[in-house]
Order: sequence, then structure tokens, then C-alpha cells
Amino acid sequence: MSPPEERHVLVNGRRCRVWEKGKGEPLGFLGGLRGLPRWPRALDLLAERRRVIAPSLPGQFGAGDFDELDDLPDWVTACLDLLSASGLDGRDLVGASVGATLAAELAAFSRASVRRLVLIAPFGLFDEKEPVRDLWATRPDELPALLSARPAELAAFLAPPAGADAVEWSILLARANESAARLLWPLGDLGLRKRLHRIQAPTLLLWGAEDRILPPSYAKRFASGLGGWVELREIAGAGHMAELDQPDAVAAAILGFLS
Amino acid sequence: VWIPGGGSIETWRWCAEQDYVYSYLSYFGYKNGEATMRGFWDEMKRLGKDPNPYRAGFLQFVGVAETREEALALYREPAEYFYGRCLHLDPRFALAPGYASEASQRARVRSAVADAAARSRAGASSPATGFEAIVEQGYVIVGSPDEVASQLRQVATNLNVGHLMLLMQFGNMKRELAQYNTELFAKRVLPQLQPMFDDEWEDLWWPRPLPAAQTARPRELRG
Repeated sequence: MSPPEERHVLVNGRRCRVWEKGKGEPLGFLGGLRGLPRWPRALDLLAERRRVIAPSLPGQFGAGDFDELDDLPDWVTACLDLLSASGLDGRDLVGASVGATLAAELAAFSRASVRRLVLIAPFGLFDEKEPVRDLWATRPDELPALLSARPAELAAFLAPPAGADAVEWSILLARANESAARLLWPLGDLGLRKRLHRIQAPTLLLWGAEDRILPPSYAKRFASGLGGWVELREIAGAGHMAELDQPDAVAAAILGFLS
Repeated sequence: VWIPGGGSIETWRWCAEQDYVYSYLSYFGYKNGEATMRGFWDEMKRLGKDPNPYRAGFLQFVGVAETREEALALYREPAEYFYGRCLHLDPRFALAPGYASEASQRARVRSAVADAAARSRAGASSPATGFEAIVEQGYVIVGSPDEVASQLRQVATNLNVGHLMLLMQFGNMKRELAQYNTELFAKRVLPQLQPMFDDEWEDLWWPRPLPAAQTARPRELRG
């Protein structure tokens, strides 16, 4: 797997890393709960057919600590700027978990910002009959098995690379976690229910069949509220981080939908 | 103004800016507190503050008795009660995002690594809950009045701390024992400690009564 090209763009005057790989029509990717500490296999597979552009969300690996982002309008405007600066205005956009939440919000606030949408287990809705797991009131030793159906692979994805300072790496992981909490705490219900109908981009909803954070039934709640054409696909053998657990199935589903 | 702290770097800086006393509230005694207080004094030096020991306070558990043997017998149960039962923190809420700044997280991780290394050298993997280890690791200073005075002088000198905040009652200690501990401390230990730093430093932070001319006076009762 060859490494992606790297450049930086400015959002609110701060640097955000943009990773890019592949040829063809641009395809945006917004990372999940821990961001992109590494270039993952799923993006490599997508890059075989598309120019994958993955800007780091504020607070994630490759971007600074955006502690001025207080509320949803702050996040939406920062991420609209991030898309523009990365060359992703009006392009197809894939998001995972926290990245999917933001991708949905961007599409709801600004229809012109995306063309087609792929949402992998987005937060944003809450049904007390089947509550979302409270990620930030969970024992750290329980988290890997809650986030992933293949916790050992997740651990390898998050482990510090050879030569990295383990303490500084742990700070970056904590920062990514804090930035997600800054947006989603406590349960990710940002009122999206009231805006969901505004999303008219054709949308593929992907959900890990073993998602233990957001029950897979949330896919139907999203599907019934979205305003445009919706396709729904459950990924067998995958947890909340489906793109890490089953990269081949996820990439194939995405490329199939977009082709 | 005395500010309670748990090791956050921002609190050190704020105390320095405002010239407030930094009071380190640790339940784990002077041996574990050394690294934090060293960090505090390094920061004061960096910020150009003098090393006046009265800038700092330190919390320490103490159990005094006539002899060391008596102290060990009297304070075993309350110490084990406290360290075995009173410090439970649900790990689900121990590291909530946003509780600590990145600088403080960094300092905490680095000192936790150092603590774990020190404990591993001492042959213990987690904080002590048995009395022998509690005493050995300095969570509670126990002994005769002379022994306690000598250890506290050492604590004050090593940590460069002018204010000691002593917990004389802890765990399930009964009123009578707390009173015995406190009285013995006041009569036989305190006199050995008081003049420690006064020839060199002034305690600018100790509460002083207002001059008589400025104090409020009750209004005369009219008949």
C-alpha cells in the first residue's frame, strides 16, 4: 500500500491535513471517531477507481485542536470551508461515524455542498426505545470491543507508528476523542431529525450488522427521514467502524452505489 | 487566597500570576507528591517567582501516638478503611473528554508512567490498600511525636512546602481517636515545626486580623 499524498489547507486560520490518492473523479472522505491515524485499506480500495480526498476534521489526526468550535453552526461552517479548501465542493462525499454525522449536516444545511452521500453509521438521531450507547460514559477497556467487531485490528490502526512518542500519540488520540465529544456529547442528537428531509442527495446508508454503539435499526430511522433517494446496506461481520472491520465489503458497496 | 489543586499546570500558572498559595491536595502522601511539587517549583522558577515555601501547601495524613507501636495499632483500621473504600472512582467517568487540558494530560501521563515505574521498582502494581504498604509509601505518616515531627520536617524540606494541611481524621476514625491524634499533634509535634522557614521567608498568605481601627464594631444597643 503506497502512502497518500499530503497537503495542508487552512480552516479558521488553522492547518488541516489533506490526504489524497488515486485517479479519477474526486471522492471526499470524512473520518470516523478516531480520525485517520493511518491511511486505511478501505480508502486504498476506493482509490483504485476514484481520486480519494480525505481532509482531517478539526481535532482529528493531522489537524490542530479546534477548541473554538462550540456548537453545530461553528462545526458546519468550519466543515463547509474544509470541503471547499480541499476541492470537494459539490462532490460525492463519504463519511464514517462522526464524519458521517457532519456529512449529513452539511448536506442538510447546504444542498449544493454535496452531490451523492455515503453515510457509514452516522450519529444524529436518538430513540429512547433503543438508546444510542453513551460513548463518553464507557470504561476505556470496554471500548475496543464496542467500537469494532475486530478489536485487534482497531488496536493496530490506532497504535503509535514505529519511532513515534507514545505519550504524544496518546494526546492526539485523546484530542480526536475530545473533538468528537465536543460535537456529539452526550448521545449525538443534534436535532438532525428536523433537517433530515432537506437532504436530497442520493444517499447510501451503510451499517455494521454488529454495531454496538448505534443499533443497526437506526439505518431505517435515517432512511425513512431522508428527503432523496436512499439505498440501505448492512455489512456483515462489522461493528460501528465498518470501514475498518470489513474494508472490502464497504469499498465494494460504495463503488457499486457511485458507479 | 489558597487554591486547591490536583496537579494541573494551568493552576500553577494562575497561582503564580495572582500570587496565590497553591495547595496540592493529594491523598497519596509525600513520596508520590514529590514529582508534582518539583514540577510546581520548576514552573515558579521559569515564571521568575521566588522559592518562598509559603507559596505552597501540601496535604498529608498523620497519625500520632505515644509510641510507634501504639500508632501502628491505632491507625491501621481507619487508614485501610480510607484507602480500601473511600477512593472509588467509576472508570467510566475517570477520563471524561475535556476535563483536562492537553498540557495537563501530557504531564499526567508522563508522571503516571513514572509512578508506575516507581511502583514496579517497589514491587507494587497499583496504589496500596494494605496498612504496611500505606505507611511504607508515605500515604500516612505514623509514629511517636518525635518521629512524626522529624518526618514532617523532611517533607517540608524536600517538597519546599511552608503550609501543611494535615488530615488527622480519616476513614472510619472515631471522634475520640481523632481528638487524641489532634491534641497530641498540637502539644508535642507542632512546637517542633513552627519556626522552620521563618528566619528566611515571610508567610505573606497567612490570615491576619485587620487592625483594630478597621474592624467592624457592633452598634450600641439603645435602651
